Formats: sequence, C-alpha cells, structure tokens
Amino acid sequence: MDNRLSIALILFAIAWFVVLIAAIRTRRISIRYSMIWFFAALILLVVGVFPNLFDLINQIFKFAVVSNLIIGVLITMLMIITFALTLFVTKQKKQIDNLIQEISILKSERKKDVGPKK
Amino acid sequence: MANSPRVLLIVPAFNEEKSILTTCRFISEHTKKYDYVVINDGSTDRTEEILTENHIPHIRLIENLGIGGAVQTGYKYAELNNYDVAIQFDGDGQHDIGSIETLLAPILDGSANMAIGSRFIDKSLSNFKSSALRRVGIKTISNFIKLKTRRRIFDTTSGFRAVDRAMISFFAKDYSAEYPEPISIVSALLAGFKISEVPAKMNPRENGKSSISKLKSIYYMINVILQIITLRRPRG
Repeated sequence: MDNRLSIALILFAIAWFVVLIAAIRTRRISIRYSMIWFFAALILLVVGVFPNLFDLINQIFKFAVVSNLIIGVLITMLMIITFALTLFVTKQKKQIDNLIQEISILKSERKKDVGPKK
Repeated sequence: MANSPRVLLIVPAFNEEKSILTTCRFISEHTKKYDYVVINDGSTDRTEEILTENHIPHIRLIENLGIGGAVQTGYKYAELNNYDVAIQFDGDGQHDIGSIETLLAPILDGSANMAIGSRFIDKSLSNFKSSALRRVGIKTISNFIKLKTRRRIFDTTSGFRAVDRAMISFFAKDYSAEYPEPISIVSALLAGFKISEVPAKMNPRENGKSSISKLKSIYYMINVILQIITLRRPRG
C-alpha cells in the first residue's frame, strides 16, 4: 500500500478520535453510542499503521488491488453502523410511542375528557 | 364475571369529523350499559372540538400514532381502569353496534379470550363489498396464519373484536404498530390464548377511505407476512 495513503489514513483516524473525544467530553454523544465510532476509527488507524496487514488478508480475499479490500471493509463497517442505528431508532420509537400514550391518557384524565365514572 | 362485566368500547378515530358524532350517538343509544372511549389519534380536522363540545369521553393523542398505537392506548386505558372486556369499534361507522352482543358471548361464557367479528362466517349478514384482490389478500394472510399457528381464522383483517381481561393486559404491553389486526391474532395464538370468530355485520364505509390504498397493498402483504413468520412464541 502506498505510504501516502497510510499517512492520510493515520491523520484521518487521529482527527476522528479528536472529534469523537471532544463530543464525548461535551456530552454531545453518549458513551454508549460512541463506542461503535471508536472502533471504526480504531480500524482505520490499524490499517494506516500496519498496511501490510491488509496485504496478508488480501491473500485470502484476492481483490485485484488492496485498496478495494479497504473500501470493502469500510462499506461493511458503515452497513453495520447504519444497522445498529436502525436498532436504536426502533427502540426509541417504541419508547416514544409509550410516552405519547401514557402522557395522552394522563392529560385527557386531567382535562376530564375521560375519567372514572360511577 | 358473574355480575355484570365492565365493558369498554375503544373507538379509534383519525380525522373522522363527519362520522364520529353519529358513531358515538349510536353507541350511547344502543349500549347504555357499556362505557366507551374515543381515541383521537392526533386528528388535524375538527374531531377534537366535536368530541369536547359534546362531552364525549375521549383521549387525545398528543401525536399521531397510527391505528396500532391508538388502539393500544385504548387497551392501556382499559387495563388502568380495570375493565373486564374491551371491544375495538371503529369510528368510521363500519362496525355494527347490533353485533356487539354476539361478539361478547364467547368472552362472557369464557370460551374464548378474543372474539373476532367476521365478515365471512355468515355472508348474508354483511353488505360489505370488497374487491377480488382484497379477498385474495385476506385469504393469503389466513393461510400464513394457518401455517404458523395451525388455526384457521377467516377474517384476518377485521378490526371488530372483543378481548377479555388477560388479553387487555397482553395487548397493553405489546401491540403491533403496523397493521395490527392480523398480527395480534398470531401473537395471541402463539401465547396460548383462545380465539373464536363470530359472524358480524359490517357496513360499507360511509365517509373516509380505507387506510390501505391499492398502491400500498404489495407493501402491506410483504410487511404482514414477514411479521407473521418472524413472530415468536413467548418464553416461559
């Protein structure tokens, strides 16, 4: 793998870590959801530092060029992250629905739109 | 349930300003001994004003949830207020108030946890017209339910149903947000509840249109079939 690509990857991964840690420190991202991005940056860093690793792995996958393998790995990572986000969204949708229902019942009871009758 | 059971009619309504008052008047005239609650599913028309002005018992959902979330709100309300039976009764005038006693019978004699008002058991009752495509769809869903649960339910998309106390709690906890009618049948059967289908009269829609347009029907079928085959028997 080209040295310049390695350096670019390392710099990119470092920038990523800086942004991520800044976001965690200011509580703009919860630690729980930051983990997946942490590991993503870690993979980029490993690729940058040990470019030969991917040459080795490519002996199994036999991509024409190693960069295709890297792109493949990145796309897979993105798919995993997107899927994980969909799981979070689904869970939150359930929680929000439940909140809407409970609050709506309470509000309607308070307004005496509905309530216990004799 | 020996001395008179407490029955709640759950009336989901989304933008039903034209028919909601008629439906509610019908209910209060014909079933004096039963309570009812309209679930106003975040309507954007005058439904809320009509309900308030006429002192109709109702819950206004602060956001639109869709039919599943609206009906589940009714089950939660029924559970909170200790009702013995809850009946889903649509606000658009499709369900026939006169069929309620038939629907209640299997619940009250304890032979079923859920009774579904069916358009297909006694066809002479209904002047309900549905397209050939729609009947094929309902039949297909019925076959998938048979495959999954080994029970034959004919009217899989009927929203006209009565459930007992155990089912009220069950649905208050978990009720499909998307196309709940066939899905709730399967989840109830998998959980070991008994379902019976009774003949019911259904009227053609007076105002408004079905929630399922032709374009959406393919999406609907795939969605429902996927939900049915992935449903699991509850553990324990």
